[in-house]
Amino acid sequence: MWSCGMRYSRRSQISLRILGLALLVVFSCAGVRARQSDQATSQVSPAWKDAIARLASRIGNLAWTERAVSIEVKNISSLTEAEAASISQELKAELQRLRFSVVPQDSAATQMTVTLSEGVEGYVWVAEIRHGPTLETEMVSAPRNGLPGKGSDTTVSLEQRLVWQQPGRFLDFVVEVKPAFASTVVVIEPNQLTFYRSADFTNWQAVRSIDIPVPSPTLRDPFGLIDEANGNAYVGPAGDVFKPTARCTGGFDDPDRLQCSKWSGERVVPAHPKVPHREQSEKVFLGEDCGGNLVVLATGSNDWTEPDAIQGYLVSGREASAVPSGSELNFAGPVVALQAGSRDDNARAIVHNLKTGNYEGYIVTANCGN
Amino acid sequence: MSALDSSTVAANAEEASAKAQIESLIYDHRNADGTFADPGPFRLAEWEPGKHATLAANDDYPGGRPFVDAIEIQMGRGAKERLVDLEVNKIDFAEIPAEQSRRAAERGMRVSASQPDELVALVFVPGRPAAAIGRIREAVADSIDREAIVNFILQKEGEAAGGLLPQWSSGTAFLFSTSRDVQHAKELWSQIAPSPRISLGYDSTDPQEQSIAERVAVNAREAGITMAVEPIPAAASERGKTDARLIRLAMASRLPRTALANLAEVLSPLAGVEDDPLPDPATPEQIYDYEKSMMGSFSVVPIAWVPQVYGLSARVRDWKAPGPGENWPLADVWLDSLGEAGNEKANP
Repeated sequence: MWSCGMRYSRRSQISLRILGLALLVVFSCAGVRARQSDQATSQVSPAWKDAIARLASRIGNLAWTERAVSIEVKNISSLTEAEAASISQELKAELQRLRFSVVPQDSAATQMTVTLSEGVEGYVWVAEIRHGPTLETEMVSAPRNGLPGKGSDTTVSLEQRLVWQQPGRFLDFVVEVKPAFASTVVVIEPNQLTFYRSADFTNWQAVRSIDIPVPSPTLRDPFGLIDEANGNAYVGPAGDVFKPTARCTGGFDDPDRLQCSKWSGERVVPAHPKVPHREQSEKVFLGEDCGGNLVVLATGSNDWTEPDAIQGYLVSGREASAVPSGSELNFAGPVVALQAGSRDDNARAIVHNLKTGNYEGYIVTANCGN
Repeated sequence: MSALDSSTVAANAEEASAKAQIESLIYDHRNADGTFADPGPFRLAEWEPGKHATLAANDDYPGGRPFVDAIEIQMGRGAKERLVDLEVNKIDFAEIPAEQSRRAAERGMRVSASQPDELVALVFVPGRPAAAIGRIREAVADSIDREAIVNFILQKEGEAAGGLLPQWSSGTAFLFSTSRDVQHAKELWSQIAPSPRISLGYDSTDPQEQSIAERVAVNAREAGITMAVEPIPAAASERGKTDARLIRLAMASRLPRTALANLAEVLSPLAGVEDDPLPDPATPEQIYDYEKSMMGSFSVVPIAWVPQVYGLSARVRDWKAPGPGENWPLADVWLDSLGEAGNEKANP
């Protein structure tokens, strides 16, 4: 039996709320095709095409001379029917390019069963090839990198830029670069907020550190947020509803004007996007319009003892399910915080580098392209 | 620091697992030599060996104070007693047997289950005459009706195991057959003269193992194989007297490469399986080939993958069934004195 303890809420993924004075744009659902629709035609992403080509090449390297094969494709993974059908078509086309002819089973000397399977690390596509008494097995791995929604020619490519690193944990950061003037980095930690300045973006000097009132007992899961637009910063326990225990106000232009004090006002954080297999991950909407889709960034589903990655997704609306797009960015440790950045196309990510032990702040930028 | 109670040996695998979980709440990590270092999110407030323990929240834990103030632990309660305690709201959390999951949920209990991450397998004991004959091992393996074991003994909580990794982890488990081949088992057995009598051991304190062992023996007899089951007490000196025994192998990680490497390390002394290194990182094909090579001798015969199942009271919040290698997240849960929750089945 447990004794009753304090009640703490956790981040929710359900309702949509407003952050500060930011505007919420409501998207119309008219004309949006659901990703799960079996009626939709799908295209195969470059990563999947590569996996299919590898599988076909391995099949082609098997030593027999009969080129007439029958193919049966089974899907036991989370791929939709449309995706599986597209992969099947692509595989047949690839085999035909390798001078195989795909024939019905009763007239084939070689029968091939391709199983679209899935493990914890991604898809595993397995071909079992029976030629007479011989059974060969070939397999390839493929990323969980699905099909874009509307604007099927659009993909999201991500790039990362390491901006800040330090041995101690920090919760959020902002960077202001002013060519020909000193650049500023503001870093918020669980118990202090610090301004750093540099004239050459290399040698940083701490200009001012402000203590943040720390609640007792120590926060188990602190959450920090720098509201750059309004010149405020908040620290408190993570939860469904973010209830900061401290607030810093005064703007970030002049370090001397910033003051931090205890605070008990309620703030909310935006709803997290619906990303399949990423229910427990860090996720943010970016404001960028990418071929008519919204861009979402989400971290992986590993725990905080393993390296992590950020994957870009496209989503047709805030309540729709996100579809992976483009390749993921890999990091040397878990992504412990992810916030929408100051521009529509970027986010701030904090990574705990498991090799060095440092906490690293990255600007992750999403680029839309064909 | 010493272990929770170094003078007490766990009576069975379930107790050993619970002891390790409790230790993970009191200590932050375990050294390679088995000693513990650094206080954990809770501290031991009361301790009656074999009966009762109270863990109090550690306010000074660097990772943050747990949300609950204390955990009271009652020991020595059997599975049926734990189920009753949950039903009458006497307790907030307990492990329950996987085969009781459905019935518990039907009775209104809140149930949380992990992915199937514990392998029940039959292992032939090295040095025993039966273990030395490949046809005996293969015949026994072919005779086992895994689907019936999952459906009737495990009440469909789990899945038939043909390989050493579950499908959700490796993605290639479907390549290992789980079908029974009684005819082939009979053919193999008929080639062995004189036919030996196989003794199959199981943990005497584990009712689920007993049921599975008895079903395996029935299956074997249907294929003409003479098999008898024997309970094995906890004392290590008794363990080498059966030709084969059932074992439980918990996955050390959700990642297939790590889990398989750990299994190889555990099985190497148990079943004489060679502990060759697996490449790191390993492709799905490398993992599959390695798994296949371990299975080829039939020294280890997978039977079923079983989930870890937990019963929870209505007021427990933020519970997430731990994955392979993870500890009970009791430092992260909190208690809602106002709300109720319906039945919850977690599939992480």
